[in-house]
Amino acid sequence: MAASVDQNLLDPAHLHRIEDYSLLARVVVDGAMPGIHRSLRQGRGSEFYQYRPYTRGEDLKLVDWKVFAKRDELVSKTFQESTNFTVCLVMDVSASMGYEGKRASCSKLRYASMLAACFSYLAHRQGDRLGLFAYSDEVKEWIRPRAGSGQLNRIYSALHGLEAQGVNAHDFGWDRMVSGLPGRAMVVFLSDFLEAEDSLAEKLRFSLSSRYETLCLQVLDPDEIDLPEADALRFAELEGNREVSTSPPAIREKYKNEMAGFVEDLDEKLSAVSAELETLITNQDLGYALRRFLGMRNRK
Amino acid sequence: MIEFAQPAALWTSLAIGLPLLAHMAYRRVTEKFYFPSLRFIRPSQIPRTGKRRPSDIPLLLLRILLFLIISALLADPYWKSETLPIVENQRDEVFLAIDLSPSMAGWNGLEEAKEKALAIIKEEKGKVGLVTFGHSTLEKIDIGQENLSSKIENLTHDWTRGNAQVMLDRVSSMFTENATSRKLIILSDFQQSDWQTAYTNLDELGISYELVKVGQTNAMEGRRANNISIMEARAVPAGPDKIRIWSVVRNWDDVNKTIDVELIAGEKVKASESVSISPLGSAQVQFVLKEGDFSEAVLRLAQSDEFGLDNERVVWLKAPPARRFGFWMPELEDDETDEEKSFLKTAVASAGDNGWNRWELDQDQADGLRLGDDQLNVEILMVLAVGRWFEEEQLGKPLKDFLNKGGVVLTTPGEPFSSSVSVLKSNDLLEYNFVRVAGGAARTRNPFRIGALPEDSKLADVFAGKSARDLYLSAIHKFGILKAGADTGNTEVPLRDREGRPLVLVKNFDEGGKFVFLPFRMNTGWTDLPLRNSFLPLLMELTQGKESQQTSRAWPILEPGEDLVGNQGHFRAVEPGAYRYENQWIEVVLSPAECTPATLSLNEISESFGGDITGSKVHPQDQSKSEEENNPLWMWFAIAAAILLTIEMIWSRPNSTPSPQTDPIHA
Repeated sequence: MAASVDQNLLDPAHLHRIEDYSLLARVVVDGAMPGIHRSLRQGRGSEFYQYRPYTRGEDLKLVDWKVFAKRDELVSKTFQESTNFTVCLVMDVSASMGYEGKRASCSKLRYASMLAACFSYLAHRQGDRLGLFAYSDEVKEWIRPRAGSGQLNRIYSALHGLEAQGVNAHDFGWDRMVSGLPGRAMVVFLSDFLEAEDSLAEKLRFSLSSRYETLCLQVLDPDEIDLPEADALRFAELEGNREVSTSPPAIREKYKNEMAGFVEDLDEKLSAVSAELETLITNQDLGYALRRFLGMRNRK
Repeated sequence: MIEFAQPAALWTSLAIGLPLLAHMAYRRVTEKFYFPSLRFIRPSQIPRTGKRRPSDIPLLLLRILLFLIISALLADPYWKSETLPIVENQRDEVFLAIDLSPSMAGWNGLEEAKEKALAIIKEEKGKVGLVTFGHSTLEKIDIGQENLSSKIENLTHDWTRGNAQVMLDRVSSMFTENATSRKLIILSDFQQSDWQTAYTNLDELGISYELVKVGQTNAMEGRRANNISIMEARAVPAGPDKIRIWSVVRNWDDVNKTIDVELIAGEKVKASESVSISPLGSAQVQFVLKEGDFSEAVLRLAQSDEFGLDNERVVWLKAPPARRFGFWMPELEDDETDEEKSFLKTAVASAGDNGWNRWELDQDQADGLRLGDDQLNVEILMVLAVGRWFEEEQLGKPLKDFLNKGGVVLTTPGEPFSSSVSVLKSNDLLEYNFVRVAGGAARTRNPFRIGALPEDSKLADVFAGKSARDLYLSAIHKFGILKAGADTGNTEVPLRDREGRPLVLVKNFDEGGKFVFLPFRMNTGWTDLPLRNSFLPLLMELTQGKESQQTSRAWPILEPGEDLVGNQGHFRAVEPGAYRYENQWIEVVLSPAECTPATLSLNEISESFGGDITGSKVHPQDQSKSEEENNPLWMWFAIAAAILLTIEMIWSRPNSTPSPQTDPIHA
């Protein structure tokens, strides 16, 4: 029963109803996947974490004397320790990310945003510095990496404001992002990577450095895998003016093969620059992506 | 029940197959389906397998209904009343319209019309009705009357001026609803004055017509020949004990004519004069008779012509009654009052012209009025030296009765001046208060002068230039100064002195009566105004009463059909001649318009009827178009079609699809 509850908590069909990304992240990370991340490293960091009863032998500098004066009880303050590790989330918010097929429970952008919220929460819990970069044909959001709960709230707020709009311009966006990357960072790309396989290897060449981990999460709608169910459709491009009238059953097999080839080609080119690719479907639960994220994070 | 004017258009209802086919073959490939990338999407042939069964039945039914309504709309539907005429009673109806205007009496017009009418009756056999028309009268004999022929034979012309519009306005009501065809045959001379303003569209009324022109003897280019008319005749004074009878004779022909005009009085020809009249010209003929020998005379053309009604004219030889005035004065007359009366009597008596417009002193009438007799006919009453005597005789009431009937009263003050004012105030005739008498103590060296007349006053229109100068030079040695009370009511001050003090007060009454008070006496002790040229016009302007109250200066002249309102009824002019009614001497003359020989062509008449000279028979289906029986329904069908079309468009509109360019997807 517990397993069922856990699975439901990771299902985007349920999660997409939670508007508040802070709550959503806690539901997923603390509720559905407790213990998947390392415990918080407490120490002499600058950010206050919590009070706990003083135990003999602890440094008296940690005792909060104001509390002792009020309550005649010795408590010591604990601080969150910074890891000096940066997690940078790079989100594609072009118009194609707004697609939501009949079989999906939310749009690709919403799915990517839910993942980004969960990643942010996990990174924060581990004391990492956190940054967010969103782009389409221009920079939509650029929150430079920082640590602390205030940064986490900024990212949640920025995620709320994202809209799928404009044409994707990966080259432009990645150039701007790379120029602002600090040393020793994990870069998580959330995009559909449509039309991006040629320039991707060139732009992600920084992944070859041992200081960087690059995780490319390709978010696709089920319709993009095997086309929507209909006898005949007049397709119109979300990011262009092209139109094609066709019968999906007639071209479905060929489309699936070409789409699989595209993903395979993309994977090969990313592997060549030490970047890892995972393809996520928007009706798939978030658990796999979270584990994949943590797996890569904890390798460092 | 619903019928269709264009039933052939119902074939368009076959078009209901179109929505059926469209519905079966319809494929929703016109909708755009927005997709992230078309990179791997190739165009392919879209299968054209139509539906074997219609899926959206209500929408299909709606479309079929829409096509049915449109096809019915094209067929021009109308609602035909259930009270349709019974087929057995239907018949063709013909009405003869015979013009009885006076002009038909000439050129053998009426006799010719009778002959043609009788011929038509014989031809149509029992389907003919008759209508005759003059100025305002319309006599109708329904179809099927047996005595129709005898009625036509006994027809006589009317004396009133013709007006064809009277007949045309009522022509549609002559025919019955059962008529299968309606035809109007008009027999007339189509004289210009009777027909030039006539208009109706008989085609619209579903009436065919035929125009039969009669009385066209010697006609060329619409003008009939051989007519000379006595157009005008008047009797006027011509010196002592003589009367001049003056007349104008017109030649309507385009050739010179010589004619003898006779004056008949006492049934004898008293004088005769031969005149030569130029083509289309006029000539005057005058006769002089001794006044008082005869009361009426007849002017007559000695030679007969085609139109005889205008060859004779009766005139009264008696003068119209003079306009009367009279005086009220104190019993004990003094010199001042005598002088005043003399001035005023001379002035008013000379106010008329040298003709029959005269003013006459009738003291008996004035005395009768003073005794309370209100039937008397005095236009101006002059009350001189108003004082205690006026109150003692209780003359306030008869005076006000006279004023309320439209009479004009001129009043001068007596001695003392204050007494006159108080008497008038106590009788509600004056709302001004006495202040003092200016110049009363001694004759001043510098007399009072009349102030400049306001530009917008009636007197300023009369007095201009020399006459105004004469008025302004008038010297007033003494006058009573009056000051306006709290409420001056309808009192006007048409004349003031140079310091703005009233010199004449005029109080107007509702029925046109006028009470004029002069605060000075009309004798040389008070003013030299009676000696000046401007006195008479000033007096007549101040005492001019309401137009309708004035006795007419000539005998009334009426045309047949006109009325004269008298005291106890009205006089209706029927035939030309000289008549007496109450105290009026009336001349009734033939309308001059009837004398003109000009006629309208049939083309001009048919233009006024909106069609050809002879209209074709009206078919029953054409008849059914008249609005009285059928109510067109096309508007209701159009509204229904518009509503259904709107519903269809809303119902079948494509589902809205997300357009990312205009409606961004929010994360």
